[in-house]
Amino acid sequence: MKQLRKSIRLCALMLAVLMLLPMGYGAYSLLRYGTRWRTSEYNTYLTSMKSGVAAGSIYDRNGVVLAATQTSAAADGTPSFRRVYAQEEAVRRAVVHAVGDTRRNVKNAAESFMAEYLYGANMSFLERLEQSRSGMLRGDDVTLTLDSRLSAYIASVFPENKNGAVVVMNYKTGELYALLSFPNFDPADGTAVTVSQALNRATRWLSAPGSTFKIVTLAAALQNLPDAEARSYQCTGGVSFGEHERTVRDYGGTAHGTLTLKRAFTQSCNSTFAILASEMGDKPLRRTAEAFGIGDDFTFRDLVVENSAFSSSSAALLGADLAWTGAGQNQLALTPLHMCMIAAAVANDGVMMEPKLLLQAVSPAGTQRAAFAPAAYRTALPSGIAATVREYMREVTSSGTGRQAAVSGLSVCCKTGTAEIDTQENDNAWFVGFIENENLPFAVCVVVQDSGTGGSVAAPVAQKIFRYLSGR
Amino acid sequence: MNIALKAKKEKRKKTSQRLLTGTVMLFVFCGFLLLFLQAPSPRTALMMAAVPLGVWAVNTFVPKLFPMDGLLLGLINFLCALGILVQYRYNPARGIAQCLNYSAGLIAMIACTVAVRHIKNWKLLMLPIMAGCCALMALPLIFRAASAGKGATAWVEFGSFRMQPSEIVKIAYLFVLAYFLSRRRVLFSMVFTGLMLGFLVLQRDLGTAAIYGATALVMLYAATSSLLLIGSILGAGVAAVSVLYMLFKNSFFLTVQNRINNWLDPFATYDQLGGGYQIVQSLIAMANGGWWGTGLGLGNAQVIPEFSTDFIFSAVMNEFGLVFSLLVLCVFALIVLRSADIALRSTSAFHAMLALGCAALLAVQTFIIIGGVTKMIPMTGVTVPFLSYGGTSLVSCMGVMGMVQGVASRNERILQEDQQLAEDSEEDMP
Amino acid sequence: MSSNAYQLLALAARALFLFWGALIVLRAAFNLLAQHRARKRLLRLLPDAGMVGEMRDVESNQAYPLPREGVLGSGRGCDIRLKGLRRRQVNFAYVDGKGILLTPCHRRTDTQLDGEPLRRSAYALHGAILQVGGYTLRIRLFAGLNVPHPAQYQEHWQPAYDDELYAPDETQMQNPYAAYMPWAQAVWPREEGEDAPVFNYAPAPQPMPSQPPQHVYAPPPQQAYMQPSQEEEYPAPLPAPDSGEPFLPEQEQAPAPFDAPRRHRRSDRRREV
Repeated sequence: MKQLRKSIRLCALMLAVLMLLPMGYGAYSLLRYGTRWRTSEYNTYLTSMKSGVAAGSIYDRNGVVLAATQTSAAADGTPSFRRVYAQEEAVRRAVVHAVGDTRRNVKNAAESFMAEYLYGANMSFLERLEQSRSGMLRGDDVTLTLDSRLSAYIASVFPENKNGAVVVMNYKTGELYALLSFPNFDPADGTAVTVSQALNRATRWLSAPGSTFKIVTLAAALQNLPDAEARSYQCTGGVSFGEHERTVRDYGGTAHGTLTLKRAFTQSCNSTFAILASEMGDKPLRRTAEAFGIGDDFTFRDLVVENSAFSSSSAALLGADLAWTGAGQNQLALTPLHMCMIAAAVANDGVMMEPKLLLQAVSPAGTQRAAFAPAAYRTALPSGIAATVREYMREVTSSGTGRQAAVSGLSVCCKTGTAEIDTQENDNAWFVGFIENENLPFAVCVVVQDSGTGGSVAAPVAQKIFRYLSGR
Repeated sequence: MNIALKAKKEKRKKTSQRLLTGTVMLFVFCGFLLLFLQAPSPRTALMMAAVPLGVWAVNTFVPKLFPMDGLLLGLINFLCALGILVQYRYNPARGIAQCLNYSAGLIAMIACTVAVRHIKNWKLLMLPIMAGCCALMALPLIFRAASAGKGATAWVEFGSFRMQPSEIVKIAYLFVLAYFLSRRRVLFSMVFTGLMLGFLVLQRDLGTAAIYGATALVMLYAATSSLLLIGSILGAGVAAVSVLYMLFKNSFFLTVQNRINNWLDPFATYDQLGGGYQIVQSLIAMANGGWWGTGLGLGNAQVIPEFSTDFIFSAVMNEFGLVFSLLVLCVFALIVLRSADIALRSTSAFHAMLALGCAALLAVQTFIIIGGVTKMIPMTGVTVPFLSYGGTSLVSCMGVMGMVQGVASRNERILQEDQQLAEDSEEDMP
Repeated sequence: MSSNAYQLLALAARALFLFWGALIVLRAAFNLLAQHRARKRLLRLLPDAGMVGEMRDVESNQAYPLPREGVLGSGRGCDIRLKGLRRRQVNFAYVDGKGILLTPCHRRTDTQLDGEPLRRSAYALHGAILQVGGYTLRIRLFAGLNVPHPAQYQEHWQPAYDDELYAPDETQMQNPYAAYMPWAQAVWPREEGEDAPVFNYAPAPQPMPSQPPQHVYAPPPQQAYMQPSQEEEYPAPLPAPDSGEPFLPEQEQAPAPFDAPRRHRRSDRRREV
């Protein structure tokens, strides 16, 4: 019996601990995914939560009203609410994917993702008492980090009738100044919204980023191949890999001749980067990509971003697949926002900041319920390597494919990309770049689908953005 | 022992018992009061008076009539009262039916208590019990033709009377396991467990099979205290399960594949029939509740299918919050610990194993269902003990607890006899 | 009630429910622990609670309390641990009405119960001798248990205060009834024609606690062992009384329960309380 008693004691303790495990898991999931589930489109509780509460207003960083609630009394005395958006149509269209609309066409926009602030779910009991005594329940007012004027301007300079996205981010703090997606729609309009219009391409659309990915390949090469900078490379317009002689071709078949690494980067030579990738192998490249956040499960506090992928499976890439990945094609899938975050990391000495959309949330009584605080998401690069990459990117603007993004008087670093898509006639034009200036710490990503090369289509748009930002 | 000390101990025990009862009464009264204020109706007013009164009556009188463990009874009553409250809030008819189920459960508990306390010779009963187990388990298989097509065919229907035999067999199964394991007939117990598991797997009731298996494993460890044996059985079991799964993945165990897919990514299978809709709504309910809950009467857990049986815990998490749900789980854990304490006090190996088996059963069942509800493990068709709506569920859980109470009352009786003998000898001393 | 007011009330009630729930959990946990400890304390005061007797090593006179169910062996989990035995040697369990059921753990053991090798299982009564691994253990059961041939009869064969000799922290109490108990002092008077008594202790008239026993156990003659199946051959020198009372010579008082070698440590514990 003594032995039996000993084992009973042990079993009892194990069972008690076992029973409490699911709650621990529940608490963990609530912390991590709670907001996501609460704001999910499948949540029917929101409608009951929203009823009877006047949603708070959404402002941009300069105080421009992006969304507000108009209250009026219905026939039977109960208040009815109507949501109105920004006054100017251009502004409305430009911020619709970030702000959202009443019918929740845009998934996880601020209207729904920040519903707990807008509908006062975080009100303390006393506040609720106060408010119900005064008559109507009001939610908190939310100030976003967006700049509506900048967004309207960007919408005006983006090529017409083209799909794409533009992201402008402060690389020192992570604030999003502009988050645009094209095509957009007018939330004040009552017409039906197509799926294409409702999709937020900046955060939910994944595609191969083309040569802009060479930033990652370059970083990997600098960290893993000791003589990468000193060597010279031969480019004959294409390199063959693998037993089936699949070729990695440069754009238009141009042969760049003998190149240094810097020149290969500035000229965006596919062959060189293909060689670099296959010399490194899958593991170092994948590791560097993971350091940049590719493959992470993004659970940012302020917005929902699709996870980027290095390849469609976790098996190691070989041969031409690996080579094309090094050049920015193959099975890479990144969002424009993530690409912007990558450029921002390079600009910020290798530290990738978490993208933030919420500047502050203030209750009707004036208490600040949430405030913006910059948060570092990852350290993508050691700062020495980041400085080298910055130098190369500077070269791209001054003498490389990014010439059309140069602004006189500003030090602009960039990388252009041209992604070939099988189903499209034209290529996707990608551009990532940033301003090297203490007072203008902006990183920009421009994607124009089905248009042309990055340097010719996306870079001019970015140039205009840079000019606007610097006030020229 | 000194008479005065004994009296003081008794009084302290009574006050703490009264405190527990009083708190439970207040809790339930407040709950029903809120429901009454939300939707006044005479039925709710009746419940508001009757349920606290019932809790008080059971806690006060039942331990006097049939010697029982007061603390265990108090905790069980708290859970049952909470269950009745939550059932009533969503569906008053079910709430009242749950009260009737509770009475039936109470009778079962008392019956089991009396049986375990008084029956001395278990050897004679073993054979009939085993035969009864096998017969009852085979029933759904025989009747399968009648209710073909469902995922789990573990139910038997006689006209309008539905019963799940595995819940009744649970009690008998514990007796058999406790008897043979306490006499160290390990091989026989394992064969019997294998037989029961076989029946359950054929009925595709894998959740109950997991419960039976895990309980047997715990009792086996208690009996042999040999980690090697347990480890090897676990390994062999996992291997056998994997082999079976691979073989029958797409034919017999299609539902299992379904369930695993739902567990891995419920949002992806949201719109499919038998897809992740349940889990997603359960998670959303949990998220809506947050840490402190939405408040009684303000939640919307009724969108979850099966919210009153399998997903009742999601409803509790929704309206009362995660912190309160943790407290409810602590109550379950306390019941398990108390049962283990009772097992430790027992002087007979059979009774100790019996009490441990009951504790293990409760713990494993709670873990499986709450793990499934929070998406920690795949969902299975098991009910939450004491909280779920359902006659067989409540009756079997109360019966299992009755067995523990029986062991407790037997312990008390033996202790009293010893004390009496000691006092007699002391009184006669010069 | 308006929905808004109800909302406020329900939100306020959350705290109340939480408070009561926490109260229940904490109170119940506290009670659980307190009752666990109280039980332990109680068992210390009743050292024989849950025990049915003792096993006494006859040579060293070491007494091992015998629980209702347990195992004898050298392993760590054994209830009675003796060095030199196998890890688990003999299972024993008290069966009401029958005695102690001894079951050997392994098929080939050198265990002997009352002289006979212990094969499958056997019932041992009070006074049985268990020879296992070089130890000779005498099984003694408490009086008041429902076993055949209860203790009172056997105990008259030995000095009543035998037990107090070797309790570790006891002060000796003089047996006040010593003058009235002829059986406590000398060898049991034998009547002619009877067989020798089962145990022929030579008792020490003035026992001293620190000294080892002055008598040595001498193996009694073979035929005097009582086999469970041979009860009818048991030499009963005195007729068994009908009432169940211990046999008393005429005009003698019944021995105080203190003298019955049953709860042998209770007398001293009582003083501390």
